[in-house]
Amino acid sequence: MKVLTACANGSGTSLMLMRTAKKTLEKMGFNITQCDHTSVSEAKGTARNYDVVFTSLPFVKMFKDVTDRGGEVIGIKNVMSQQEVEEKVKASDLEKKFLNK
Amino acid sequence: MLRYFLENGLINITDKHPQNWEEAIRISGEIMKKNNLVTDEYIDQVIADVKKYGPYIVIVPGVAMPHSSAENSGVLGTGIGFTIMPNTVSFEEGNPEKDARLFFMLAAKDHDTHVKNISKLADMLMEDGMVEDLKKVKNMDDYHEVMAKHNM
Repeated sequence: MKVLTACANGSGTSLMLMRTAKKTLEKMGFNITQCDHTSVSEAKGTARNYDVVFTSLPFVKMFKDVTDRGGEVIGIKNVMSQQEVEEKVKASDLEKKFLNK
Repeated sequence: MLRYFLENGLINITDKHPQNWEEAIRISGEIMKKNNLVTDEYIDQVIADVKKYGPYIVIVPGVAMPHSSAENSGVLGTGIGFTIMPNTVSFEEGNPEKDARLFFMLAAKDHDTHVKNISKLADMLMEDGMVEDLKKVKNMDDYHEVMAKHNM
């Protein structure tokens, strides 16, 4: 599974979030083949190359184009919370799509 | 990571009371300027980013990570400066989840070093009781005590 994390400028929060997301997803059994972090403006263009985009909650609305095309965008309030990432991944289609659950 | 701040002169337990988040970000930039990591141009951009995007730099309640684009010309080096404020700073009125007391300002000239720094910072903040213990730090003696307690 290819994972992208995004925040305003792609160098702080998205990096923190990438770490949390990667740890959580691996613990849940996902096979991460690629994991990148970037800015929201860049991510809107590159999101189609990824299976899921994690971003800070206030930025979710900026990914409307991506979600309209059926892309998976997950907003996270606390970028260090593995528990929140796990809950939101469970509420998404990711387990069905990638773990055949 | 607590040792990193100490050994690199990147810890500032300040007695300046910021009146608002903007002032707090400026204070958190002082230790960065002292170490030639950033200029005022970068700090101005950090403040402009928060005005534009909201207080997303408060990564967990109590902890702010002020930063802006690594490409900003006010970024001179790579490092994290840690400032402990004497009072809690509100980033969003009526929302205590966006209050902060511990400020970690980032500068990321060198990407690889920055990635390592962030990992270490995340590990540190995830230690049980760490954020609560650091919020109580009022002087360097307290800081050394937290270092000893968490062996960091």
